[in-house]
Amino acid sequence: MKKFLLIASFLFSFISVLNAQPDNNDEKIRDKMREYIQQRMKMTRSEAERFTPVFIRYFREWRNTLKENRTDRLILQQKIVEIRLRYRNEFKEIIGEQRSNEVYRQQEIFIQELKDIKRERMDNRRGPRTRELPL
Amino acid sequence: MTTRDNILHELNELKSSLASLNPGNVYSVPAGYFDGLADQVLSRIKSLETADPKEELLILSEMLGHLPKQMPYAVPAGYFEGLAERALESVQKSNDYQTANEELASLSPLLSGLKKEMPYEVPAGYFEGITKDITEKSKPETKVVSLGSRSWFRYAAAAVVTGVIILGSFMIFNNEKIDPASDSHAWVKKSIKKVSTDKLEEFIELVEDEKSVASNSTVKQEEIKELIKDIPDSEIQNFLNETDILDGSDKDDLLLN
Repeated sequence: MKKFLLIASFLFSFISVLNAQPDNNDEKIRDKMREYIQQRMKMTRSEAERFTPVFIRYFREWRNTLKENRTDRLILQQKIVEIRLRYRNEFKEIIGEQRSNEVYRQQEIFIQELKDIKRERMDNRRGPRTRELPL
Repeated sequence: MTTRDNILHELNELKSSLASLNPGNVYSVPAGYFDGLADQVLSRIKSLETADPKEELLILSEMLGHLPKQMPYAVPAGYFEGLAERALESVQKSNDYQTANEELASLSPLLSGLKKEMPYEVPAGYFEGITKDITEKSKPETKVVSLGSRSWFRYAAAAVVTGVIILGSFMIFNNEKIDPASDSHAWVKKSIKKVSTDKLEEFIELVEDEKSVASNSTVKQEEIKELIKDIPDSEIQNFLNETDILDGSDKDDLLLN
């Protein structure tokens, strides 16, 4: 009987680990954004492996810049552009020059999707009602 | 001053005990040592060359060489036959003779007072089956637990395992793949299912700050219409086309977003 319980608990733990997600929501969004970009751009395994650490660094810097420069939008935009130009050179080394700009485009599309999903959730909270679908 | 005096002076300065020693010969031989030495050495050499031990002995020592070869001592015939019995008999006849018990009593009254009987005894045939008995007794007793009386326990365990397997399979195989290239919205929706709406809102708010300066303009649309009512549509369109590259809506140039 002890064996049965042991096996059961082991299987349960194993499944839990398989389904485990990062606890931090920011990291979860970051990881999903990275995954989204990699899949949409059809990166190879080798490209994806090299892309991941660079993207994590880029995201952290991009995120911190957004947080630290909320008072002056022009300065914020300038800094974001600087970061993107700098990281474009790094992405270029991995996925080539032509596709390096595509990373930022896919990032924007992902953010747009997030906005849509948030809107959907808010609408669902308010209850069923007719609404204009976002174009 | 001679060399000898110099050496002596030096030894005295060094306070060596050699200075007080007499310089005479320290070795001596007995008187007449060298008188028969040559003969002795010669006879030794001759003895080494002899083939007969008797001859050799004569050369080395005349006295030993002339000794007769007869045993100087002799025992009567049959002396050793019955020697042990005779010795025992003579001992028993002596005045201070004691038997073993008498001697033990005189040495230790306590030991002599002990009974000469075996204090322990075993039943008849005790050692005949002892090996078998010990082997049987040395076997560890294993507790036999019957599962027959607790069959519900087995069913419960089986149910738990089955449940876990089904749940696991469901969680693994139900995870149907969505291709973000074909259904971007569904993919993102499924991916961020576990992210709370508050967190999502917080993230979007942060990103919104980056957007165009004019995006939060409080100028009403009616006021703009009023301002540009005299400008022809074609001119507005031309202007929009020219400024399009600076507009955040151009997805191809997101560096300026």
